Amino acid sequence: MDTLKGLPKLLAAIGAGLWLTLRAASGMARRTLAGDALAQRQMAQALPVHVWRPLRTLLPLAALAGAIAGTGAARLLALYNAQIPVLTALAAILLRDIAPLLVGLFACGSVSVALAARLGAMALNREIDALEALGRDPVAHALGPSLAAVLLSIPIHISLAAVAAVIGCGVPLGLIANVAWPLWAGYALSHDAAQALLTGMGKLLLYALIAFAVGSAVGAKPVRSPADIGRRAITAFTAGLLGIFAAAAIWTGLA
Amino acid sequence: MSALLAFDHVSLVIGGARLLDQIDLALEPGERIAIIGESGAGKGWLLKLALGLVAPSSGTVMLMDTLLDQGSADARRLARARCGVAMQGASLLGDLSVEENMRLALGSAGPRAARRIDRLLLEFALEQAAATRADALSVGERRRTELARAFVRDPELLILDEPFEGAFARGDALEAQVRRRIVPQKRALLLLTQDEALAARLCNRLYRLERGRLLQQAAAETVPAATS
Repeated sequence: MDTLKGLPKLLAAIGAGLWLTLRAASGMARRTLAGDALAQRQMAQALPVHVWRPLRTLLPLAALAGAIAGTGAARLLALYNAQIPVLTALAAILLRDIAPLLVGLFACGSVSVALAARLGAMALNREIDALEALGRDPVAHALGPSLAAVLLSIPIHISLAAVAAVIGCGVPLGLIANVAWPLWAGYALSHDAAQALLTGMGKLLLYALIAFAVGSAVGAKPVRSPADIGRRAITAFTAGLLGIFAAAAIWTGLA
Repeated sequence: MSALLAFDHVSLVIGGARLLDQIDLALEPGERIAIIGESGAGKGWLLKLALGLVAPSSGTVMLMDTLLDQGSADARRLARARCGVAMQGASLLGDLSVEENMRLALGSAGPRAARRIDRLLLEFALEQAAATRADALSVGERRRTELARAFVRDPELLILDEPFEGAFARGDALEAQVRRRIVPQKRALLLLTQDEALAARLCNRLYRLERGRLLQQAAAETVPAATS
């Protein structure tokens, strides 16, 4: 019964997240088309935060995840020596499921938490009120550049994470199962693997939008003290995790 | 002549407390009105109501011929864009420079906009801080930036909440600068302050906000030699 009681709240939060994401997209598009120099400058600020800085953590994480998957596959190969099905499945699962989920979870940790904290700080510093008082749309100004940077980060993050995961996977395959690099590269760069990577990119787009919507919906809630900002960030992280895992499970189930 | 800002029987109840009670106020073009009230009297709520940032519990607020609680969000923003506002406390965007905050308020680029911003920065002694991020400014510089920003769009109506708070040593010069930009150009002013003397110096109609009610008082009651 308690779950049912929370359902209207959950639906309202999902609606708010979607509405804020759409408004951020349309507002940023309007600003870009109008040649708003400030929007370009804000984009330049958002790019390192959402695109380049996460790579320092994301790439080692992807390589380690690849190494874990590669170790499991290498043990299987040592037992059964079924190279074609194992390596094909490994490349597909790595590029279609593991890399996108990893990047998605990382996006959840960085995008949703950063947005919730930023919006909370802006509300506390009365910057949202100031934007309204200036007759500007706060959503387009506060969220628009971040959304553009997050969308831009998707192909970059998934491609580089996939490369790191493939390399990470190749090390245990070579050491434990004696799979040569050219052979593994042949599977990882095959037509099927490219298709899997494209599917992974689609998944990551969904995960990133979920993380963005959750971060903006949670961040838009009223903030009364600095401590509230920390609480909002934790809420955004946990809600984002749930949302991304739910989306991954539904996608996998329906595929 | 229609009022630039009109409160019609406006009340505001928040959390069961009646913060504002049956407020009636009309600000015509060129008029300068001060609302004097102690800290916590509800001046901040009055400012938020005047800009449509909160909806009144009853009554209506009209800004630039736009009914704020009935108009669309875009209509409200257009009405607000015709006002110059300086809120109490920090209201600059911390991750933008002083010049970018001004450009954001002006909403246009180009050489004319740049000249206008440069002139205001010079008048408010901010030319050295133009490229400084707003979150790195001193309290006085922030206040001057907020005041300069209020004038950047050549507004018909100024709404200033404790405009010289934190200005300290430059307070008199700043007040003179603000007066020069308001009085000769016949701009309307809604001043929200605790400082009765300042209110009497800058405004020609004074009100006191007490227990949520707006009580008119003569300028002569506060400072005999009130000048405009």
